[in-house]
Amino acid sequence: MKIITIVTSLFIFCMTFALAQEHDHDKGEHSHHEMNDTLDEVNEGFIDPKGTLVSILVEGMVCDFCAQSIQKVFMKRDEVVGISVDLDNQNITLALKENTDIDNDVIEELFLDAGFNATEIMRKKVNS
Amino acid sequence: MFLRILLLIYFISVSYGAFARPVSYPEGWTFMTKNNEDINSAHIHYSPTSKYSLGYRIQNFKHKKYQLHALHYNHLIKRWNKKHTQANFYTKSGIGIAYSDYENYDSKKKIGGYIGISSDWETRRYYVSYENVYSKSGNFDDYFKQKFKVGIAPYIANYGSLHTWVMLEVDHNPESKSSIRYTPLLRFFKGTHMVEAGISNKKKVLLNYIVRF
Repeated sequence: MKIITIVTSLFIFCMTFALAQEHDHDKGEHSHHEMNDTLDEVNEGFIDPKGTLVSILVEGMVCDFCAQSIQKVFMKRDEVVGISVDLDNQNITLALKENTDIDNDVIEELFLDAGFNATEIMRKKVNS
Repeated sequence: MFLRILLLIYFISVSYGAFARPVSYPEGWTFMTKNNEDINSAHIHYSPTSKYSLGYRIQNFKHKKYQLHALHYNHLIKRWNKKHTQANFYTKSGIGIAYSDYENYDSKKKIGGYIGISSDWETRRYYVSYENVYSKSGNFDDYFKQKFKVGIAPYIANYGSLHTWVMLEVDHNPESKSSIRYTPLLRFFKGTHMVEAGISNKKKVLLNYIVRF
């Protein structure tokens, strides 16, 4: 009985990660990361009309809890005045204060610290 | 009388049960309670980083009539982030004091502890998880059990909206006479709150609750 239990456990465990790999392989999609030109409101905070929008493509952001953790981490930053979450496109948009920016390396590190991967980062001025 | 009031407060507090990822975001707190046919438990933990959490967990074993108070440690061994999926592999462990005021174990205290692994895989539509635990509490108890859970979201909710999952939880306790228990359940979450409610094939209620802050 114990052998059956152990084998079953290992099987389920392996299947879990096999499914993860297969699902992404089947998608076979290339990212189409584009800035959202129509963004006029955010989930938290506000958009500084003289500031910058930073659009980030995120891997692993599959649920509200995931996005909430990212939101909490970035809203602690002085440069960030607002954040928008797009779960459909795995996209986070940060609204930055006027005359501020965050280096890509820092953004990638913050995502890693939060448990996610930032794969593409784009910027534009709010009123450009 | 005072003891009864304390027990009443305790059981009310844990009657809103819980389940979720064992590690939160950096500097995040999580409170969860979990209630089923066998156990009422309450657990609070703090995550200094997204890799591990430390907390305090109390489990009340209803049939075996003892409680285990433990310092609890969760560790994220590996996370797989993909564009549409995330998978995780954790270890969970705890060590503390088991005590019983009942029957054969009247007023006895023993060192107790447990260790196990858990894994999950999810998309916005599908969810699969597995976890097991080996627990030993002095001469009160000694068991191994495992749990498998699958779920599907009937609709894809936007960020901040009410999310709903239809799930099936299968518990396997090799030592029990009827070692397999099936519990269909509904999971709801909105904002930082999550509730799971279901009824097992033994007609027993499952009720879990979690909040992050």
